[in-house]
Amino acid sequence: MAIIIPDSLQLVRFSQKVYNGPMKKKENFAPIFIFFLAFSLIILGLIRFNFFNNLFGAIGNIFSPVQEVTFQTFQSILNLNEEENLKNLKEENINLARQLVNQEKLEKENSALRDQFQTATIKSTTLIAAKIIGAPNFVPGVTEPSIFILDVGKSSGIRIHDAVILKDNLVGSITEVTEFRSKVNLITNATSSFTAKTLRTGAIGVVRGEAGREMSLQNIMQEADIKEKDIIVTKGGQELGGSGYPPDLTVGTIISVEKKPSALFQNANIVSDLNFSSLSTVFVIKSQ
Amino acid sequence: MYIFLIIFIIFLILLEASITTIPLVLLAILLISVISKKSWIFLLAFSAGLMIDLIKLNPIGKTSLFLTIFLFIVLLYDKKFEIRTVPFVFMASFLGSIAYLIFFGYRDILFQAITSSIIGILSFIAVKKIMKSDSSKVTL
Repeated sequence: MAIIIPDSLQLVRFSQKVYNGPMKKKENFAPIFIFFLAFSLIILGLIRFNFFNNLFGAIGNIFSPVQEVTFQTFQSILNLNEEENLKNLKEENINLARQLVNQEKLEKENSALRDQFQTATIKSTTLIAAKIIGAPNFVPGVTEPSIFILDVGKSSGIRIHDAVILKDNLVGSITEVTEFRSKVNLITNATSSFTAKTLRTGAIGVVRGEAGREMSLQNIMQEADIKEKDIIVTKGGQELGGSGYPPDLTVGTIISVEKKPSALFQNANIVSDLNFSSLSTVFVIKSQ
Repeated sequence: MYIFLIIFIIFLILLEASITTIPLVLLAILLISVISKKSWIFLLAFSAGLMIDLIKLNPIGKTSLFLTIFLFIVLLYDKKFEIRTVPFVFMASFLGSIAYLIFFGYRDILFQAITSSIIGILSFIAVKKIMKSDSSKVTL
């Protein structure tokens, strides 16, 4: 009896694998890694001791125009949807808050002039306009940035700890400066901390940055009178030489108060009137 | 090819310095190292790190240090495991992003890390598809 084997069951000749030669050895990256690791550490060390700061600052400045264009292009795309009316309302709100603060200041100055035993000093300061060329944040247009990069630096007289404002609203303070650029830590940054007071009653507390546009006002005495919609202004912690926050700059408005009878202090949550993600120009206070 | 790569890295550096905190350059370095596995990537990572620090006004050398160490760890894994896979790219981009965001003190670490690992996986799949369709020409 003949056995018919279908083609599909016939043994198939396996093709032999063709090797091009012995298997390639994997590259040893250790020497090149150690080289670049050491180089990075050397550069970090040189910067710590202020070597080549001017050189690096000048090199970084080469990219400023491109960085500015990139930032402004994305910002204009992301802010297309903000209605004109809403923008105007926000502007008006900021102006009204500023007028309120100015009125309080005038009243205090008048009463100081009337009382010859009180003195009110007004420091003359110079405002330097600065364009924001970088404001990195998680989701552009949705989440808020925590730092700004400005297009002004030491050459414009900017120093570390100089206050940054917009229409008497506090934005932040300078933390890094190169010859032509500087970095601002916003008041909403988690590392930001400064003393402030309520405009209405003068209750003092410490403002700390939190998520988004919110901050917390902490360590307010239990008996202090604070409530929602109170305006918070800086208390003024200026150091010698004029750096630090001048007094009476608007920080924000209280949106909620946490008061527990058993606690030593009460806290409040503040929100800034500024929409940091839509800002393009700010002003640096240069004290004289 | 190299010029295109350099321009692309510069574009990512500008985005990272101006618009977003998602570690795009870290993802790019990871993808290039997974695909190429050559030593010149260390020079690219070092240079990109320096540029980021110059533009973002970070302490110069800090990002280079991080990227160099990250790259070395990724390439160490290549000695034992196959790294040109989606699971590896996901884990490396997720853990690398978490480490990067903690190292530089950013917020919303978990959400940013998840977002960056999704971007990493999608980019890796896209690059693999491009390489498959053009496999005779691609040599890095």
